[in-house]
Amino acid sequence: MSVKAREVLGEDPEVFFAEKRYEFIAEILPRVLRGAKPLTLSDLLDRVFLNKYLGIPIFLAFWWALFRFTFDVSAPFSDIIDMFFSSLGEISYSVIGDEHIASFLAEGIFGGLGGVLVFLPPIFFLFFGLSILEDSGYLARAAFVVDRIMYKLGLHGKSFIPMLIGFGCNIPGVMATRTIDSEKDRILTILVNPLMSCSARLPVYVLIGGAVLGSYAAAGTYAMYILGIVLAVFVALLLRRTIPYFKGRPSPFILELPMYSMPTFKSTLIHMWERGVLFLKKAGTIILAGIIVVWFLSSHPWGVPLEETYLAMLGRVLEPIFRPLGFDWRGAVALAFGFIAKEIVVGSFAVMFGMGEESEIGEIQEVIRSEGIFTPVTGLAFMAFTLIYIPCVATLGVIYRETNSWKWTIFAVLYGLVLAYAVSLLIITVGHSLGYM
Amino acid sequence: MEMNKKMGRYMAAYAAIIGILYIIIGIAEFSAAFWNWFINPEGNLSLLGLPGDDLFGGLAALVIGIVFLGALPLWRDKYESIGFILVGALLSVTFGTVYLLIVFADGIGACLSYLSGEGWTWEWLTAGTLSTGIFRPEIWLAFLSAPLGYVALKVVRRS
Repeated sequence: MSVKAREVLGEDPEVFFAEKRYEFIAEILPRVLRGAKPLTLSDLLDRVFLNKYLGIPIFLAFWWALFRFTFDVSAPFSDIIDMFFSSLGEISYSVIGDEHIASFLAEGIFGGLGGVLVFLPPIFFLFFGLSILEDSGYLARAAFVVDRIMYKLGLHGKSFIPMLIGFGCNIPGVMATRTIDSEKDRILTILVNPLMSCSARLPVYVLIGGAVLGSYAAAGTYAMYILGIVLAVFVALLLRRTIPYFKGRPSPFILELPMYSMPTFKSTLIHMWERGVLFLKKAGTIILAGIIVVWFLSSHPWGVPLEETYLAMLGRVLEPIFRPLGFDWRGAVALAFGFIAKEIVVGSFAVMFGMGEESEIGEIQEVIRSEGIFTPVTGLAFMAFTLIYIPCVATLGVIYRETNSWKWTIFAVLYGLVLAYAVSLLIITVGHSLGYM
Repeated sequence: MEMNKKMGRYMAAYAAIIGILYIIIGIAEFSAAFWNWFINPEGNLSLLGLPGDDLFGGLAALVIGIVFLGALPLWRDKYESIGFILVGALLSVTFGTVYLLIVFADGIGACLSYLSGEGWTWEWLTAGTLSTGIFRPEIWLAFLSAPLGYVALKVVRRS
């Protein structure tokens, strides 16, 4: 029907009706209003926020402020959670006589889960900031500003909102593509959505960045988010140019900008909670289960050193693949378990290092530094790999459901792996050639 | 508060001063960070006593400065440029607040360290995450630009 309507109208039906609607409004307005239309506060703000040259720099500046708020302001709250789980681990060892059970509780549950839950504050802070931007009406303007570039690069303007949602979690991000009418634009957006750095990757950036990038940790994390956007655009452009199914221009983007409004503290808190609680639920289910598996593999056969455990055996099988990227077997294992949920990457390190008793994030970072698991360059490559490689199991499930195609689901996995490897290798090569270790 | 030519000129001049200050700070922070990141990673260059590792912070300051300078046509009675003051002040206050919150967060961190047995230090107030603590100029420029933003908002609401 949409195709028939396009044939009859000679253009996209959505564009046609939008134009007619505004033509009608333009016809009525002079009859009911006299004199020049006064400039409202919204008009004045839009002249700046939607400015051809300043729109995007302003958006990036707000994004940077959001990042500093997310990481630097939330840090002491993470420390409090850290201290709490450390105490629980210590209590487990002192109260429980059986060493096996004490290890399971202290290193498996409290160590692993505590290592993940310390990222609750940055995630809630991120969503708090995003809710302010959204509730104020600015985020819609950001979509409008970015659309100009996105259209030129082969992505649909409506792709921006699902991609922004993807920064929180790729699952609702993929589901939000339902607003895109054109099937090929929708599938293209679904395929690039996992490149948006969801909140599950954030703990990995904070852990690795803090361990090896020092005072550049926040900048390294910011760079990952920018890299995700750049890669999404690059992949979309590449797919649009190379895969016949995606060939052609994206359909036009029509967006009615909401009025600016002052976000209320209550509504911002509610939005923050609604999104952040997903992380909590995940932590109590899939992440906990994944961490218990990692603990079991890293502690058995019982009593042997870490290098002789089942986990090390698995890691050594994977290690040759990751060796060119500078990741040892521990990095390889963490990435393998990250397929279940990205947060497990951090939990895996905590459990592997036996940090259950003293699972403060700073100490995990200290082990990473002292054992030379990552250098600044390999750490950055690891962060990039985590950003790009296969989406988590849950996201893959949603990709299958939304595309109704195994072909596109498998394609999402494969291109992610290849791209992650290529980008990480590029970071290593460029970093080393610039003299960084 | 009514908008007239004199008021427009005052606002344009004030915005120009703040804009130039932001641009100087932005260039100093960006160039020092660029030097320390890409040209001499071993060095610890700092210009005008500003942090030498905040590349994006420098760029953000530069953007705020340019936005404020966008309000210069107010000098020629171009009322519509007042939006640049509103957005510049909004950005300025946002960054000032975030930097101030970072200093407070450093303070909470120092308290936690003290509670866990480490000695008390006031370093968080003058150094900490921002390198300069409360002496980060963007914090004080936010206090300078907030009244301008407030006046601009009043003018817009009255018009």
